Amino acid sequence: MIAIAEISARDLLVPLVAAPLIGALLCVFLKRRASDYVAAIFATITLVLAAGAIGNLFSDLDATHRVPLGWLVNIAGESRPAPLVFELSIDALGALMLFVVTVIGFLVVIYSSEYLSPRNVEHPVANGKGRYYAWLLLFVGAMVGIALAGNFFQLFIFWEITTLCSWALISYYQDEASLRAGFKALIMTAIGGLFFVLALVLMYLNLDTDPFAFDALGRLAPGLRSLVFVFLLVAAWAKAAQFPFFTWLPDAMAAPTPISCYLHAAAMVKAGVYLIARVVSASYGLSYGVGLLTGIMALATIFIVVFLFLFQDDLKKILALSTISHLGYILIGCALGAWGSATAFQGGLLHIAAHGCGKGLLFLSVGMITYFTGTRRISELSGVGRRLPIVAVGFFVGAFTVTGVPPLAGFWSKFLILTGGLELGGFAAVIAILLLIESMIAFGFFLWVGQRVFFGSPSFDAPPAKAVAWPMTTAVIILAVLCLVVTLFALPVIQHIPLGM
Amino acid sequence: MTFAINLGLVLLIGPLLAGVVRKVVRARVHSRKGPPIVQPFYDLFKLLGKEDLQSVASQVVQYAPLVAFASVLVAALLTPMGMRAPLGQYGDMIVFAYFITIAAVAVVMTGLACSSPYSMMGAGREVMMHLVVEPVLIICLITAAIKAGSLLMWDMAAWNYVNGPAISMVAAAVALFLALQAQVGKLPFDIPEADQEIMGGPFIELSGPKLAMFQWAFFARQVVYASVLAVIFIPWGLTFAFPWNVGAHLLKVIVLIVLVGVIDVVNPRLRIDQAMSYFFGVIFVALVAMAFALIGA
Amino acid sequence: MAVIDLLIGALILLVVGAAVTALLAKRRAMCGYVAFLFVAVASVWVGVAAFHVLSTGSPIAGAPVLTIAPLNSSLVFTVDGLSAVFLLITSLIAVCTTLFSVRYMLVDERYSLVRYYPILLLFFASVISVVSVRNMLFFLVFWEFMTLASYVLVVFETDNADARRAGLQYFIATHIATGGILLATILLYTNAPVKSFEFEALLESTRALMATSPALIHLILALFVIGFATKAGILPFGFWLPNAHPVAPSPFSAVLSGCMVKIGVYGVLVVFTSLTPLSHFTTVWGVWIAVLGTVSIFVASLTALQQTDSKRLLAFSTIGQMGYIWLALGVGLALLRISPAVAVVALMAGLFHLVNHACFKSLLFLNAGAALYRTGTRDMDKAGGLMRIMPVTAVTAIIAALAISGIPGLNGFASKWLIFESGIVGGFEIPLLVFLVVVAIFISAVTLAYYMKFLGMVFVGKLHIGQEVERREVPVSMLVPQVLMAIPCVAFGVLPMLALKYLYVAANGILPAGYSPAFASLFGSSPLAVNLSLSGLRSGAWGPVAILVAFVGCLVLGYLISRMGAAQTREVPMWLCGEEHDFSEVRYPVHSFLLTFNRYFAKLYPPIPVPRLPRPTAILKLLDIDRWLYYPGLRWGERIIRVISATHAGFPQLYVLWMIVGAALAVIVLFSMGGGP
Repeated sequence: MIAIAEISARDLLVPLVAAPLIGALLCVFLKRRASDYVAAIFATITLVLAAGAIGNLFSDLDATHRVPLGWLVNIAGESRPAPLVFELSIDALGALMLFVVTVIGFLVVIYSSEYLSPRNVEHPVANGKGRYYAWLLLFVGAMVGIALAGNFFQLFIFWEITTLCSWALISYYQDEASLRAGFKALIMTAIGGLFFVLALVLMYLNLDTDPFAFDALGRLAPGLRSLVFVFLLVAAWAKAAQFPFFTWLPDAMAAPTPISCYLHAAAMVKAGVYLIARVVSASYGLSYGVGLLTGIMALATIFIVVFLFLFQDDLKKILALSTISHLGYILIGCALGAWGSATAFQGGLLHIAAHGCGKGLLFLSVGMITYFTGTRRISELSGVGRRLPIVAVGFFVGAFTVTGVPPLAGFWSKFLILTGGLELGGFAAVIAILLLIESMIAFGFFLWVGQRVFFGSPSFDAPPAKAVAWPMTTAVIILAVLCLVVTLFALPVIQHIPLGM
Repeated sequence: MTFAINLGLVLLIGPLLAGVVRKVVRARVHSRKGPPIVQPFYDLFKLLGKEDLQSVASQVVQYAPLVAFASVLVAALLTPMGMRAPLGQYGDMIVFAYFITIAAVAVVMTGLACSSPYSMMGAGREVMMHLVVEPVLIICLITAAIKAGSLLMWDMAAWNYVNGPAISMVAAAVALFLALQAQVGKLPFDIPEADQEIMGGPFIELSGPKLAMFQWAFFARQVVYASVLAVIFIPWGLTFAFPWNVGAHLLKVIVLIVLVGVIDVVNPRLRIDQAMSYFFGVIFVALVAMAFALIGA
Repeated sequence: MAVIDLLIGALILLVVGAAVTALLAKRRAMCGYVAFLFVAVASVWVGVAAFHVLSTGSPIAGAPVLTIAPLNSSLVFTVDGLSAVFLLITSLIAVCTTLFSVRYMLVDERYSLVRYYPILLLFFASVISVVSVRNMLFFLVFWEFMTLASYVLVVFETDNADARRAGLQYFIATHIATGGILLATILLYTNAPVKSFEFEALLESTRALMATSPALIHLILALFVIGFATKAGILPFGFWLPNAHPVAPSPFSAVLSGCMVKIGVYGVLVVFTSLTPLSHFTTVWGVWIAVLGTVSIFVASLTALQQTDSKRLLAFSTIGQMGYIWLALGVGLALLRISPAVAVVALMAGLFHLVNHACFKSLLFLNAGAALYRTGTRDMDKAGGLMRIMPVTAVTAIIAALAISGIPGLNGFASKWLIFESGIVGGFEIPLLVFLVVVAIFISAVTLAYYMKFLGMVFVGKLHIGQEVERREVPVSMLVPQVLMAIPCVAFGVLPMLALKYLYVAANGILPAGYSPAFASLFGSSPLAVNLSLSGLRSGAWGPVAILVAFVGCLVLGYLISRMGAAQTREVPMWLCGEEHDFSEVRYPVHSFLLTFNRYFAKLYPPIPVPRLPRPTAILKLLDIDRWLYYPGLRWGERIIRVISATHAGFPQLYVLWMIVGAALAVIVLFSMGGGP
């Protein structure tokens, strides 16, 4: 028997990607309870493996562990070396993403076992769970693949798998609205994917060695570098639902709530910002202009969205819009990072984790509300806190996390971004101050929504005593605790993520 | 000895002066003979022996007259009356102003505790009058304090004697004299008691010794207020040797109180809102005096 | 064991206590007693640590607990003289209010206590932490956590729409204020020579900025002052306070008024003593602080006069009294460079009033809470004359009310007296201050007036309460805290030097070296009397012992005189000029009391209009990109595809034609590209 201490991070990477995929395959053939158990088991295995890999990395956070797997055949048969295209690797940034993806993935799987049941008031589900879990685990696997991708090419492959998964999962209920929403998501993100392909082609054509490596941008000529960055940025915008591609995300709320949660908190949209973070982290010499483009577009998105959600009555859509604005925060962190502020970049990265926990918690809480009441209209709800106190705690903790009330995680990330922005001065300082203002508005609105929904006289009867829904409650509690403590784990890791200068 | 002088002045001269005003001023104006000068004492002693009628069994009503009485006496002990005050080194003008306020508090508390609509109305009026009249005293004293560079009342008097008169001090004296009428509760400002309309206001339920203590306290308070005006703002005679300095002070007080009596007799009562508007004007005068003091005039 | 470990131990105890009480929340009485136990032990520990600092005069510091490396900040608990003062009042209030809560919170079983005791304990922990860190980052974290906890307690009665509205307003207002503080802090941080959030580093930053960009410093100081003013309830920024204080559970109202708003004062003191070097900025902002304080004094007190809700009256009074504290601090800061002796006295006066206010205002809220507990109403028209059934509560209320209105012999007078003296003497240098003091003195009469009203309507007078009300005193566990808080009101009133001695240590600790004259040269050497010398000469005196002896003597004299005639007493009905009335018919309503005076100031505190946003349909339409961009685009695309699909008609001949055309095109393209050798 191999001593656990001797297992290096590298040994875990292949099983880590494989586990969810195997689980997905199994789930296709299973029904109901059986699929619950299998999905939970494989989600747990993934989580444990991820924990092992991340824990292993902690001994040397500056290291990158690589497992090269496959090379692209040189079509033209030229003399240059074949580019590496399949390579699992883990470093600090990947670990951060891996953490968010697996933890929230695990919680979502657990949560789903109760959410997708005949007891759900909004959408009673009797069968089809096998299909659901298959797609969900495939999604987790794809996201793990993104987190562990060693180069742009592989990232792109998994990237497109997530697009596919989100299409399937958004349309899961197969009614008119969800089918439309799934299709819309597919189209818009696929268009973004095209720009990714363009970027890959440009890199391949212009670099002889390692054209898809993360540091490839740094080796391009400055003008070309900006062009490739902009292509990647467009891809990220589509994926991360930024202006002008943000419209698919509110529609995607037709998905089952745990899926919305996963899409928003950890997967899909985070893939977009992860790509940009990767680029900023690995490449040096990004021009001021591309930083400005990233920053201004993110800022525009944030303010458009904050304006929109003031007039929104659907709880889930509010959360969707809020997600869009928070992805804007992360992108601004990256933009300020591209301008040279390590503090802001770290803030942006921390926000990946902070927002993941906070928004995940919000979605799971709202999911429980719809599960018990069948509605998610703010105007139809009141006094939920009296009936479902845990949900109230979850919602408020989540809301305070994403809006940045100390000591919750969102405060630290926003604080770092703000500090970074003000350190840079000039336009960055203006951006930072605008972010602070947005944060205040969002805070006020979330507080109002929370009070409106959770306080006052209850709008519905108490759930039957038997419907304890422990899987959902557990997931909410775990995420609430994470919202408080995630900074402590994430910050040491984030400190070791380099900023390409 | 100074204790005895101050207490004697307020306790004995106070009622006597009231008698003088009744006999010399009011009766003369009314063209009648008037009661003997010591009539206030007769009244007080009569009341002290009278039955004490209690309509409310309140501890507050029980003790308020004594508190009013004692606080006026302490205020008297803090006031220099022709010479250093006996307690002058333990309390300055702000302490004085607050102690003289306690008497008003006692009146208000009595009125409130009695719960009669008349007494409540009287208490409310007392508070309102106090709110507009007390600032005048404070501002005038601050004016003197600014000039003297000290908040001790004897220092103020001494400064004015040596360096006076100054524009600011004269203006402050005028303002304080305008307020004196209300401070001693005379027409046209006896609004809180207003015997003819609210039957004595806060005192409607009081009889016997309680009423006597309040009345005596108010007789004494006249002298205290007049003394402050006399000693700080009209400081002539301060350096006379004892007992001439006290005599000079007494003379000033008598003149002031007789003046107040004259005004009392020839004026009808104002409404409370008229009185307040009037005192906002007086406060303005006092503030002008203070502004003068601040620019050194 | 070092003394600082007591403080850290207390913090741990409070956090553990929060967890324990959360688990016990179902058993309401036990939960309360357990919470009290934790708070009592923690408070004693904190009190001992704080007292140690005040008596030795040297600050204590612990080891770093937590380090945030990217921001060069570590969490170190430090107690200096200033924080010791705040720690002492916090521990006193914590003990008293928690004990008071035990029975008070039993009544309303609609609300789970899991939202009360655990949060209350965490709140105390955060207050203790806020004043014992010297790092702006952690200060902000604890500060906002304090806000969060207090918000939860303000909206404790979630069914009450007023509570919800007030809580929303409170949290949003203070959160925005904190945003300002945060911004100011980061602005200082980014300019610091040594990048760190430690107070010392920020101080250097301020020093550097003062030379280069004074406008930025003014902006930063303005953000700080506004931020802390919002928390401290200073008008116009503290508009949330009169709404939030009345709706919280009474014991927590006591904490809010007694403890939390004071932390705003702590913040301002920290900014001007630890983050800003002594300069003309201190003078300028000192004057502004004094002006803000005076505005609050004036507006809030005159508005308090118009209230009929007892707790709302007390809330306005809190703003007014905070105004006094700000006035004193403003005077102190303004004069610090010009006339240090007066400045020290003013700062001490402010701190003294702060301590006193913590005692009597908490007590008054507890009194009002006790009355509410018995009668179920805060409306002063609906219940009154409670002295008959609640003598202890009434007596403590009278002590507190007289103390806050500044009746000599009680603590409120001592501190107000110092404020007035230092303000008037300070006016020799900055004349504006005298006018502010005049306003303050005028309003202290107003304070007296509305407390007369409060006492008269609620406690003194004829008993009138509903039939259902139990006619007895509140339980002992609610009496003890009231009595406990009344003790300092009397003790500091009779022996002000007792408090001043320790406050001098606190004030001395925050001033630059050489700025504070010796204690005896300021206050004289007699422990029984304050003999103030502000400009070298003796300029004021307050000897409470001597004067109280004289007062008692005069009381005895009065008593002897009044018994001279040996008058008999007799019970009689109230005399209503010979007419028979039921008492309820002729009762004088609260509203009428002081009506004439209030008319002058009725418009002083207008209600804040809540803006109603119309739905901006045009902008929403513009932002709906789907509608005007993507969907029309798709429809065009569909049309084009339909046209192209017409080419697939299904005839083989047609397909052959396309193939030929295509091949031809390909050949043309290839030939045109090929360059040849």
